[in-house]
Amino acid sequence: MSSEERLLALLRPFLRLLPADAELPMDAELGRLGLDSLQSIDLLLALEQEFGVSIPDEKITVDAFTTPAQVLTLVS
Amino acid sequence: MIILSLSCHSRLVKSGFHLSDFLKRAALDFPERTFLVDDEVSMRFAEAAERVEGLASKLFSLGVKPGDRVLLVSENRVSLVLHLLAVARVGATFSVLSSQITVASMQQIMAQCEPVLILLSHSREDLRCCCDGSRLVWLDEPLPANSGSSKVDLPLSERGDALAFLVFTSGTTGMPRGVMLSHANVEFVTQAIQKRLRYVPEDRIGVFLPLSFDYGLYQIFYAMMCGAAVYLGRPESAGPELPKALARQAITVLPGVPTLFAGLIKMQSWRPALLPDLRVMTNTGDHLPLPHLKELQRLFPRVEIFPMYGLTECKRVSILRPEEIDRHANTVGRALDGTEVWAESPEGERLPPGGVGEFMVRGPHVGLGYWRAPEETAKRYRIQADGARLLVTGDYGSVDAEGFLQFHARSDFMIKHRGYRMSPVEIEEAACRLPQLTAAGCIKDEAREQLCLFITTHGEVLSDAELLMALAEHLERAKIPDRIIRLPELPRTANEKVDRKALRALLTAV
Repeated sequence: MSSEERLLALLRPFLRLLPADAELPMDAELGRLGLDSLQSIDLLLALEQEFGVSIPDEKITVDAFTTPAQVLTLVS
Repeated sequence: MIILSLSCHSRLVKSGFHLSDFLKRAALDFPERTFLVDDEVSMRFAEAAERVEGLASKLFSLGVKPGDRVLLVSENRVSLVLHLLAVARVGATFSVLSSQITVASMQQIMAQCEPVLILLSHSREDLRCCCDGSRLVWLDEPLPANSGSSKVDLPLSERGDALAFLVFTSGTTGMPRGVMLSHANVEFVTQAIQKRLRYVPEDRIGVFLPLSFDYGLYQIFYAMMCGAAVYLGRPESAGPELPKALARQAITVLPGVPTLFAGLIKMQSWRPALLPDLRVMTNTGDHLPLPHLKELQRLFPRVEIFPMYGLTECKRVSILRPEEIDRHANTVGRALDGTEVWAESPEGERLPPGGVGEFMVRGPHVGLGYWRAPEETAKRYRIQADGARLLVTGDYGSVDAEGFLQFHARSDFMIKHRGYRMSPVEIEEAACRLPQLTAAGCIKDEAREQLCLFITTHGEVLSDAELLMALAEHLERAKIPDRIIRLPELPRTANEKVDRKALRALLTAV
């Protein structure tokens, strides 16, 4: 699986407004799909585990959680 | 430092206070201290006072008069605060609405309020459609340069018991309801709260709460009273970015709701940040569970934590001081000085210490009632024979012999979730707009901290996500259910209403 696919699979459970069979494009607005600030914290933790990285503080900004493409920059 | 803040209390005259006096005094007492900060702007008290005068004369020339209503819709930022203070300065009534307000709620509030002017952020251009009949001004346009026009003689507005602003909350019917607060209410309660919390001029208050929430808005008043600075953060920053934002802005005071603190606990336990400036946390909006309180104490040993309880209708009921937590854990502290709280029996009798009943609040902080809703006002507000104002809270608990309030339950009806007060009716009505739903019942699962929607459907079946997405059209994000539970039929009371008590009993089974 590419990192993009791995990321999208990881994101899905955090998006309660996204139907199971709907596509999740890389520029989807995560906030509109149900990701809130508290869940972003869990997402951050899940990202570090899935990708085996430690995300540096300076990368953690509000904008880092707006779209899947933005989230991907956290781990690449 | 405390002496300084006490001296600013004594400067407030007892009668005839006006909200705009706060900034006038602060500009004299602390002209060079920083007042407002956001990610782009930082402004001292003297400059803010000048800007507000300039904006006020602009509003005046647009025809805004004392007694008029002005609505503001914007994310937290310096220009939002300057504009709301300018509305107060011309003697008009302001109301800050959620920057995430839905078109439907906006229309309802417009119809109730009949505002002469709407100050709107460009990010909500979609609300333009609701604004016909009212003038619209964009909040994001550059602030007018200071000119001699600030010398315009602005109208001397009504003071004291006159209406200062409206805070819209969910009403029991699901319609937005405007809570009316007077200048005198604000003057009294701001002083009474400061007496407990003791903010100092060196403080930097981190506001990550929307200013449409009175808890966020009043932080501006405390800052003006004490000469402290306010950093206006985005509520979205209250997640992974929070520790960083607190460090970068050297925040000393953090007002929050339980979900914000739950996030902070997670972040801090997992990747601890150094936050040497932080000295005060206050909690309200919902009960801060004791394990969370203990965890915060462990992670931030030098921070003073203040559990509090309040309702918009009187702003604040009680505050527990940090040194009282050990002996009075599980309480929300004593009533503010100069006010009184007791528990009342269903028969209307004042209960002895320890007796559980409905909390009644009496004092000068009890507001004027609900905007254009005399029936709802009469249910919750009473004026006693001696002229004292009384609020029937709808919340249940007891008061011990030392005056500490123990909270038992919110009223059976209203839900507190993620720091917001909401009516189950509002959520049920939004759900019933969907043609596939035949009935809906909403309750909060307190044990799991989830907002649950029970539904019955017919015909074409929607997935949970499709349903929630459809609800998002009509509800603000905090009001979107966490869990959907489908039943063949909903339990009903004798008069055919959805039986929420029975739904609550079902929670253990589903």
